[in-house]
Amino acid sequence: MTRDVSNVPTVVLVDDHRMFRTGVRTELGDAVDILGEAEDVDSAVAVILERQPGVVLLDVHLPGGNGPEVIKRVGDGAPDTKFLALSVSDAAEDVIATIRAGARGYVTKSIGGADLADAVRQVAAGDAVFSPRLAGFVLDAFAGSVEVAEIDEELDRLTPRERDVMRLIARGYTYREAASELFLSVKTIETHVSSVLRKLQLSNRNELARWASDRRLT
Amino acid sequence: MWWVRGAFVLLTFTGGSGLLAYAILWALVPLDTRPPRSGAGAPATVDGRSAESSLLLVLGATGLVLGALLLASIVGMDIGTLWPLVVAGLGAALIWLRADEGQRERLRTGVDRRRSGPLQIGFGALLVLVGLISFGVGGVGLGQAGALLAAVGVVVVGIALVVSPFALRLWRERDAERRARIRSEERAEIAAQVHDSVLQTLTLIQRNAADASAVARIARAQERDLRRWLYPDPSPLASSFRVALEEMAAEVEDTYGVRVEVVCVGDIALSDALSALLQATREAMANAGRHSGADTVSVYAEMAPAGVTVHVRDRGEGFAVSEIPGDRMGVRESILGRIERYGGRASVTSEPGQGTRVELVMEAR
Repeated sequence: MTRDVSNVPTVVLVDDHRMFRTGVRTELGDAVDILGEAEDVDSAVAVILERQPGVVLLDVHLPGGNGPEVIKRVGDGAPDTKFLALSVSDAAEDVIATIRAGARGYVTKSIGGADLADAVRQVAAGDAVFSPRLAGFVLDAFAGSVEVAEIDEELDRLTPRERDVMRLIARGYTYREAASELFLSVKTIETHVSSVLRKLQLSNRNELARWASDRRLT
Repeated sequence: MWWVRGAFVLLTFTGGSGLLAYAILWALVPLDTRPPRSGAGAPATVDGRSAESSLLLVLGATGLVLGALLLASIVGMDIGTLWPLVVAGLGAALIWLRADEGQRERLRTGVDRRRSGPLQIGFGALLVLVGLISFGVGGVGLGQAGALLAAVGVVVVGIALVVSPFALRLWRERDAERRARIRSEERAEIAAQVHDSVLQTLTLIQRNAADASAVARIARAQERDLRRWLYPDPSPLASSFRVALEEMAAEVEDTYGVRVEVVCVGDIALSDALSALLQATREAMANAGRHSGADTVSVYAEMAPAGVTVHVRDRGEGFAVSEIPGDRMGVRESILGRIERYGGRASVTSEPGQGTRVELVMEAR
């Protein structure tokens, strides 16, 4: 490998449609280094364990199981690999189940090539990637009960700042735009989003449990 | 058939075994060797058939009873001791009638109507038991009753052993058939949906292949349609702001060929003020579609009991808000005026090259 690997994220592409994989390959171009592709759960687990990519672009619906299944089976076998879910589905239970299985972000397939490359870079750098829709789900799931702070666990509610950040992302703002709107640094925005992601993965709020259990994915 | 019956009659005179065999065959054969019924048949003829078979059954039962009495008098038994057998026969007839009807019912409608079934079968079984036991105890000495019951038990077990593989296979076949039917119904529904929408759309796209914006519009409309079908998200509210907003966004997409991404949090019932907010939102979306040149418009609506906030933004050309020409009624009247008349707040932020943001707030009063 002659390229400077540290700057270009390594990627494994998991999707059962070859046409879609080809399209993503073309759109991402030189922005990432694609190490391999897979089209179902078994081949995905195998290629991820073998190539140890920085980021896995993971379709939520796969033959032989689903995206969350891949994340669970890879488990500790690829400690530096991060998952970014990529799906056509807008269903809340799909989104939440994938995030709770351990994905660092969720973007829909309608995302443009440049935005997708940005998302991959962010996930590779350890940040969380929220689409507007995912931010909307979060606000819905954590709606209300801010007042009853003494009952709720810290995990079960958003801070006012996290709520502000989610609102801006739901409106389609980039992290940079959100930062300038709230007079914060981009780094602070990233910290807030990562914190929301953690709550989304660990909170036991009924809404999250329900969404995730609707398809018995968790 | 006649020679078979003749043989049975002959056998009847040689000790009654023929009668017994005939009765058993009569009971078992009609169920399994009845010729397959053609098609689904009209309900009227089905009723006719069932009345006809009931009549046959009654005739057959009467014949059996008479035959049995005749046999008894030939053998020299006291007729009085035979009544228990008649009771048992009645019970058996009840069970057979039920089983026969139930099976036909299932074949005909695919529905297993079991409501009266267990009652009838249970009652029939009771009659059979009572009849057999009182026959055993009354007609034969009490000491022999045990041996008789044991013999009956052996015979019952034997019959069960012989019949069970067939019954099991029948049951499995019916189960498989039912599952296949459900699958094929689901498949038909999906096929109808795909045909009515997706295939039509693909045809349209091929026909309009040269016109990129038309293709995008058709494909987007189809995507929306399919999403609504795949991920239905019905609102519990009768007149939901969210549903109305999403419909309006779809309309703007179709009219201006722009992608409108709607994200909603919560939901609220429509009111006059919120209808005004909805109209203003539509105008904001339409403006973005018409003037911005952006391919995507982001719409975010947060609906809470305290009020509704709507944001419409595009990353298009933008404009200088202070220089809105007087004839551009869209922003001044349709957005700002509409909202302010209902006591809401509206702000439009835009600069050339920076895109446009419209924020609309309607607080509950």
